[in-house]
Amino acid sequence: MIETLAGSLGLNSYDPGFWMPLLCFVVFLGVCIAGAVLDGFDLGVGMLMPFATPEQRARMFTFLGPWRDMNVFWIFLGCAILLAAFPKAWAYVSGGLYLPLMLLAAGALLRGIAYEFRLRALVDGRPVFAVAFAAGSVLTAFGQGLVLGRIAVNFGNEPGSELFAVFIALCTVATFILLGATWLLMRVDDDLQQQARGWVRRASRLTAAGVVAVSVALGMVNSGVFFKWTETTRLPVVLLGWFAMLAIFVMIELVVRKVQRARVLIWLPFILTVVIVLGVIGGIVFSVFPFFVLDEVTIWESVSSLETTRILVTGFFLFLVILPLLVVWYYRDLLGKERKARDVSFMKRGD
Amino acid sequence: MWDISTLQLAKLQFFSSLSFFAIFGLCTVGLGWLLVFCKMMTHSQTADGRWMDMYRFWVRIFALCVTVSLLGMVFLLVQSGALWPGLFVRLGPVSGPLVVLVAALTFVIKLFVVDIMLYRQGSLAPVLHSLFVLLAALGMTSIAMLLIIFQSWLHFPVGLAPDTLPLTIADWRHFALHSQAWHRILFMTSVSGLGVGSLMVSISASEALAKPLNTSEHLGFRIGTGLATVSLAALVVGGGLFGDELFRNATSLPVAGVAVQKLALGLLVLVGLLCLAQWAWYLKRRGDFGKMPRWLLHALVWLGPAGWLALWLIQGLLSLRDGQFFVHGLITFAEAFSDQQSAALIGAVTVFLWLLFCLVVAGFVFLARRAARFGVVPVRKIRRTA
Repeated sequence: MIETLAGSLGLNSYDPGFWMPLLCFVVFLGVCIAGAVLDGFDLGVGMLMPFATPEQRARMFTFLGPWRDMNVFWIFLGCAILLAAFPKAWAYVSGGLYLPLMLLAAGALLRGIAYEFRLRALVDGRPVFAVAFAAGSVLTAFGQGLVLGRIAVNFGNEPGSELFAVFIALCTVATFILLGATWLLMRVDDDLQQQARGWVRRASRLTAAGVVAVSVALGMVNSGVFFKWTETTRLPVVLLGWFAMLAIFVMIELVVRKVQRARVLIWLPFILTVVIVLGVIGGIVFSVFPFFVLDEVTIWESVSSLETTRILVTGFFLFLVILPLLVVWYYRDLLGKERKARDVSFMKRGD
Repeated sequence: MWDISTLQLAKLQFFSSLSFFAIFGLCTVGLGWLLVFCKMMTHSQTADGRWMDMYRFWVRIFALCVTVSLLGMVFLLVQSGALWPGLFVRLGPVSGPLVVLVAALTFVIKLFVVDIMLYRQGSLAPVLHSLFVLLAALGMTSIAMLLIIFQSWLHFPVGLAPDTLPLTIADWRHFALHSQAWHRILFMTSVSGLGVGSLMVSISASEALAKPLNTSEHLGFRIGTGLATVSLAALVVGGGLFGDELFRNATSLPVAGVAVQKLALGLLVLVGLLCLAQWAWYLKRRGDFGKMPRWLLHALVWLGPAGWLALWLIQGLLSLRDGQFFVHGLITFAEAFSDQQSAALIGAVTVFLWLLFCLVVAGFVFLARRAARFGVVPVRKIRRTA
């Protein structure tokens, strides 16, 4: 398959002009996925803050603590890689996504600062920063959703497609809430779990609607994508993937309904939600590949020049090796149960 | 009066984000070196507890600055593509490696060095911890220097391969070593010193208003005053020596620019007078700064806001240097800009951004005032507790 792709560009697959941009793209995609999943539950928990009691809220803030420092980086890294490696695509994409990206950046700024400031505030100042954190989370999630929606309707400017993009954005917000809620469901077992259960059930319906909406938009707006999906050899795979996604929602519902008895399977909803997110991203990449912007800029056209890419690839190669290891090490406790502070033996004076 | 073009709005938005980032970034670097100094003094033979107490207080202010400046960078990335789509298409070979280098450095410094410096002090040997404080300061200084050199290079594009588009660097040594960049770095050092110094004076003065100062707070007050005075002098000297390279001359400034220039100069004079008043009092009474009359302390609380406002205006003036050129003589703003966005949208986003910046600054001032009145909160962010 790689050979045919390279052949269609008139290049050999060992040609640096072929694999270097592809490597940069893989790094970018990896950062996108990491950002969507790892920053996603963070966003979700942030958006659920207003619905929790003050004690629960304080706990939820502690839950996010260990990963905050890494999570503020994903958006920054994504932008930097895209800008450095694919300036032409970046110019095209960010021109069409000015408002969503600014919302995203504003939300990230607000929530990052609100978290750190809250940590350093005295008790009476904290509610203000908690509100700012929730508001920032909503802004960021909505901004990401608008980016997704605008890509799904292929940057169309008709009034209908704008509305559709907003609908997809709302569903994306629901997806992040679902990620956050299933993550909480997995981590705790008291009243907060009961709360999380209600949140999961509400969010999963809207998420399902969103998955359908994105796929319909992708298929209907762009005939090329529809053709790609319905090609005879691929159709069964595409359909299978599609039904698997819908089955996942049913499974989440089943587990959540029996949450009291499902001690062992309690991590399942979170994993399944991650699978949904991966499925959506994978589906979009499959549909748009090898283009960056559908029918406008391919991955190979959007790099700035081969010499520059050559310099970058050395750096990106390090990224490609180190970043996954780093992520695994950094997030190794992600799936575990809540640990109370008194269980930690090496607690020292904090600074 | 409201006759502003879309291009001017875009410039306004971009450069206000840039100056917001620059002020917080420069003060972060300055505070980093202040912390290195405090930490080194704790290792000296005659060290008492004052230096450690001072470190513990200012490291919290430093942590706030780090967060603000890091997240301020994301805005610049987004705007560089959304407002100036034509820029990196023409500048890719220069900006690409630089952006990746800065991003990677930021990643490593923030995630490992600063993290260890802020949250692992208890579990490290003092000397090792001091080493990390030094590394953090060095790392952030190198990031700041890269960005300042790049900014200076935009005004003095040297080392380019002739007649290429996108612009290609033939010799990176010229890029890094052109003399204007080093003049700019010197100037920015004094800017950073003045920012940190005026912040220290301001917070110490509000501490002195709230309670009698202890020895480490006296020390902070003295160091802050000295730093502010010396940096102000350096700023004036640097501005005089390198003014032609850094700023456009006053005759060709737009009307608003002249007003900004007058305001900035006025604020600097004000800051200078306040410093003079402090030293005059000190020489006459030979007493600690904390025992100054209350009216003078109240005035000194405003030294911080006045100093920061002046620096912000100076950053604004720096951005007017080349008028219509993004890269001097090679890429104009008009070429880099695309009118894909309507003026109304850009205007609305600009207003929203300013509100957001005001909110962030308000939060910063709120926390700084709280810290001055009640002391700082110990912060814990240990892995495996959540």
